[in-house]
Amino acid sequence: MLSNLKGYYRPKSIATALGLLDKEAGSVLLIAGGTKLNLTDDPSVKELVDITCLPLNYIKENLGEFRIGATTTLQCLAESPVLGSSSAHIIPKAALLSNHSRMIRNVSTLGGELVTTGSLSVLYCALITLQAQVRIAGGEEFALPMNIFLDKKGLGGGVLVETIVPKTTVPSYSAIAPILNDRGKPMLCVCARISVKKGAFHDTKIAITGTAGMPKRIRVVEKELNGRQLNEAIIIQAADAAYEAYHPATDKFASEEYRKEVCHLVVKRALLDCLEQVMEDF
Amino acid sequence: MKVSFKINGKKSAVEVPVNRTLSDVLRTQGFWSIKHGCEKGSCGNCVILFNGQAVNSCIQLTAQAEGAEIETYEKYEKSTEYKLLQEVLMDYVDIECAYCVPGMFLSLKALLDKIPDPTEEEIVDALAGHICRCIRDPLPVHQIYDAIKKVRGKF
Repeated sequence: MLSNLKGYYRPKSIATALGLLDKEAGSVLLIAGGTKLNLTDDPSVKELVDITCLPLNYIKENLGEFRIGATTTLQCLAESPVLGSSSAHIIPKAALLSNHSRMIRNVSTLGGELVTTGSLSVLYCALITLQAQVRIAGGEEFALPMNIFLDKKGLGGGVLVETIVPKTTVPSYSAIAPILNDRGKPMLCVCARISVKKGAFHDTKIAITGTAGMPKRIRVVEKELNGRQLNEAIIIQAADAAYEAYHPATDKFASEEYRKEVCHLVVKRALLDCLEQVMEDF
Repeated sequence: MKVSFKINGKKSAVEVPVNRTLSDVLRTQGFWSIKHGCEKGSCGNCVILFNGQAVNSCIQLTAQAEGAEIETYEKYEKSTEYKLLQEVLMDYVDIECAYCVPGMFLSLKALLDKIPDPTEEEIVDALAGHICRCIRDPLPVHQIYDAIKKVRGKF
């Protein structure tokens, strides 16, 4: 475990943390829960900066947004009544799906999950769907849309401080549709959020994870739905469009055809779940 | 580096290399209820209560425990208060070697401290991440739930 590790620091402020990071590239890493880093034996890691003492463990609800601190644990997200009772309720569900072990969720943080994510990240998928942004401190603080952060995947020596999830101005409904393996681990997942304006789909966002590459929006489905009346037939048409537009790879786990079928199923399932919530509301 | 924490209510300070895991260090201190297992946070044999929450000590650096309150199974093994919970695991679940019991006990304790009247789903969730090599999966959660129901309010 981190055989060349020589130093460990627990800064009390973001400025001190940034100062500690400003050293030889790659030799100083940030740690919060450490559930992924502690398992590696990367010989280039010489010092760790533990940010668990920074005041970044919070879930706040402001007028038009939710703000979630980077060191908020996945279990805190999963149990959050603020998020659970809002249209962002897919975040607690995604946090639960991110790791089946509560012992890991008690330690794993949102920031760590986002920075180290791979091609399967249910949390990322949910946050893309909700149009979240991340705020990064490092010199000047700036916010980055989640999809750009995902593409850049580098903090440029900065510290991920918080995730901002905007609220919608019209009623919106979100759903999460995972395909789980026999250990309860998601293999593929679709997150969807729809808004309703004059009885029609409005500002639909839908994203998929667990396919080749990083989590991504399924724009063809969004285009198919927006402006059209809410009903099951339109949802099936949108799922058909996803089937046609989606071309996953064939590998040892599944064929392209199987993945297309599953994609069709989970897109339909997520959107029908949203529709059911709309019906309950009216 | 020097790391100070409270373990089972007593103050402790250790001088350890910075890359030593908490499970390693606590075992050298004599807390043998912490078992070596997968060493990657997958089996739950090394679970401790870290500031009241169940965590895998095999993937925690000792340095991360600075100022923490740690509890191990040793604190409760002779406690009459938790005898019923121990019986739930040993008698009702029919575990053979008991290697996994300390970890499961602490996970259940953490759950019952928070939710005194848990549902079967909540027990499943609390025990997810624990592997019993005697009875294999799935864990007999229903039996644990029934047993907890019988002794509800006595923890």
